[in-house]
Amino acid sequence: MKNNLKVLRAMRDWSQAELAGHLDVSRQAINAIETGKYDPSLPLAFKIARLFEQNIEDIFDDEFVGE
Amino acid sequence: MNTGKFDIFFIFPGLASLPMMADGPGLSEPLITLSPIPQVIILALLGSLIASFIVFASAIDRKCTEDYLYQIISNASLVGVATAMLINMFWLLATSIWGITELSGQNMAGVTLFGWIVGYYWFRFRGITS
Repeated sequence: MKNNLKVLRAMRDWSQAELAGHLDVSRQAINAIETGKYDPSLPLAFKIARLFEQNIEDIFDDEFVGE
Repeated sequence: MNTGKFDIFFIFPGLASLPMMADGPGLSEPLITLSPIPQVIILALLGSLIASFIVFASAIDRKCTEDYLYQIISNASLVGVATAMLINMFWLLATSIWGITELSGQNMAGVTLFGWIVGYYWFRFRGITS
């Protein structure tokens, strides 16, 4: 799943470790999300959205194409 | 325990699984022989007791709260079990066809452990997207 987490993190000048600390996850989990190797759980996605004060859909794109 | 610590932690059982897979035949004549039913009962009781103690003492559900880590470990455990089943199947065929030495329980435990650890690092490298 595509996301702009890296951009949002850079806008706040946070390292992956700092962002991980805010979200109470490991740095490796943040890296995996940013590189598209892991889709966060729903609670974590909501946490991320609240942290950056944005909607989940504005951060994550599941590349859904309507029928 | 977080993902970073598991990356290092899993090296040790990975190394330990190698001599387990290499282990040769044990005693040809064991000192104590157990018939199947008592052996199953003893192992089931011991397994339940030790597993319960580990669940209680490790508090793993409270320490490992990260979904990412859980997904990797659980996916890797399926890989380990599947690996053991397939190797056991092919080795049995090889034993009957070519008469090679049968695998011991120690060997199979080593194979399962090794498969689990390879699966862990593979999922860490490849990712676990849906």
